[in-house]
Amino acid sequence: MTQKKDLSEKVAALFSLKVGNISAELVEPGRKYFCQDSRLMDDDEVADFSAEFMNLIVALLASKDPTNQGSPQFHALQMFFTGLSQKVLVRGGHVEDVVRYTQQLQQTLIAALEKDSGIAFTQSRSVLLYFTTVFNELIMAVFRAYLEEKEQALFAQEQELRETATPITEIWDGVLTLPIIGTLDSSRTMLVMEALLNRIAKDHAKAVVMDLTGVKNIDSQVSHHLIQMVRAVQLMGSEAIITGIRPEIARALISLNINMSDITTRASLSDALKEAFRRMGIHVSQKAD
Amino acid sequence: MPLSPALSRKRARGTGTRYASITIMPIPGLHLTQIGRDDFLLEPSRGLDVSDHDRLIESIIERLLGARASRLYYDLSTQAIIDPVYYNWLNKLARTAQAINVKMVCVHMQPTAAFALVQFIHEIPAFETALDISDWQSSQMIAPRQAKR
Repeated sequence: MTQKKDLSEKVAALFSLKVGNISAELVEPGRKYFCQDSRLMDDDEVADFSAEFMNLIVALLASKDPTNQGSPQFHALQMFFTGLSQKVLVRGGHVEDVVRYTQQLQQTLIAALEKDSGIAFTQSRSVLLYFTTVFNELIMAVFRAYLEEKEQALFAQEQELRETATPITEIWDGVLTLPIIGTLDSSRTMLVMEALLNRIAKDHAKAVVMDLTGVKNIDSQVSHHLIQMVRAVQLMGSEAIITGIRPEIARALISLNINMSDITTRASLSDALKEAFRRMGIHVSQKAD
Repeated sequence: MPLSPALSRKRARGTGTRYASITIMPIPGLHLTQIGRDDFLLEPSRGLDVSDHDRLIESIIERLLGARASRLYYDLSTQAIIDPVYYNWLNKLARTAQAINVKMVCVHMQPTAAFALVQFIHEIPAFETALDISDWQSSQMIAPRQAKR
C-alpha cells in the first residue's frame, strides 16, 4: 500500500513536470478512434479533451488517496468519461470505439509514464493493478452512459408508438375503425378509450369497429380492459363491433365469465363493416348497368 | 343537443305525429317536456338532488302515466361525471319506467361520464343509450334492437 502510494506520488510529480510530452502522446488514441474513419471530432477537440483528461488524472494521482474511488477527483474523472461517451453516441459513434479508446488510453498512459520516468512500471504489479482498477471503473462509466442513452431512445420510441399505434379512422360517415396493435395495458387502454370516446362525441359516430388482429398477447387484465372499452362505447349510444379475434383471444375473453351476449363480434373487418351498415340502414350494392 | 323547434316540427310531420310541447307542473331540478305523442324528454338542471329520488320518480311516473307515454329520453349532456349515486338514480328511474311500459333512453352521454361509468358497473344498465334522439328513432326504424339490453 505504501509502496503504491509512493509510486503514485512519484507519478504525479513526473506528470506535472512533463505535461507537454505526455499530452502529445495521449492525443494519439483519441485521434485514432474519433478522427480517422468515423470523423466524429476534429483535432482541436481531441486535443482539448485529452488535456482535460490529463488534468483530471493528475488531480487524481495528486489527491490524498488515489485509490479511493469515492473521492471528488475520481468522480470528476468518471463524469468526464460519461460526458465523452454521451458526446460520441449522440454523434452516431459506437460504444465500442469509446471502450477501445479507453483501453488504448490506459496502455498509452502507462507506456508514456514508463518512458518518461525510466522506471519499469510493467514490472510493478501494484501500479499496473492500480491503473487497471481505475480504467475498469471508467469503462463502467462509459457503459452506464451508453445504457442510459439506449434507455432514453427506447422510452422515446415507446411514447411515439403509443401515440401512433391507435389510429382512429372514419371509414364511413359515422363508422370509426380502431385497429388495436401491440399490447394493451392499463395506461394504454385509458389513453385509447379516452381518445375513442371523445372521437365518438365529436364525429357523432354510430358504430365503432375494433380490430384485434394486431393484438399480440392477451391476458385476463387485457380482456377486462377490452370489455370495458366496448361497454363505454355502448353507453355513449354507439355500436361496438369486435373483429379479428384469434383463437387464443377468444379463449381469454370467455375465461373472464363476462356475459358476451350483448357484444357483437364478426370474423373479418368486412363482415364487421357490413354489420355496421346493416344497423345504420345502409345498403351497398353493385351498380346495375 | 336539444332539438330545434323547426327540426322537430319537420320530423313530426314526417312521421305523422303531432308536435306538442307543454309543461304542466314543475318538478324541482328537472324539466320534463312532451316532445311527441308518446315521447317525453327529461332534462336535469343544476339543482337536481338525486338523494330524494323516490319523490322525484313518483312525480315523473305520474306525468308519464297521465300522458300514456311510451318513451322517456333522459338528456345527460350536462352530466360530466356519473358516480354510483347518480347511476343508481338512473337505474331506478329506468326500472320504474319499465314497470309502466315506458322505455328509458339516455342520450348525449359525455365521454368522461361513460369513462367513469364503466369503471364501476358490472351489469348491463336498465336504460338504453343513444347518441341523440333522432339517432335512436332512426335505429328503431331500421331494426328494433333485438332487446339489446
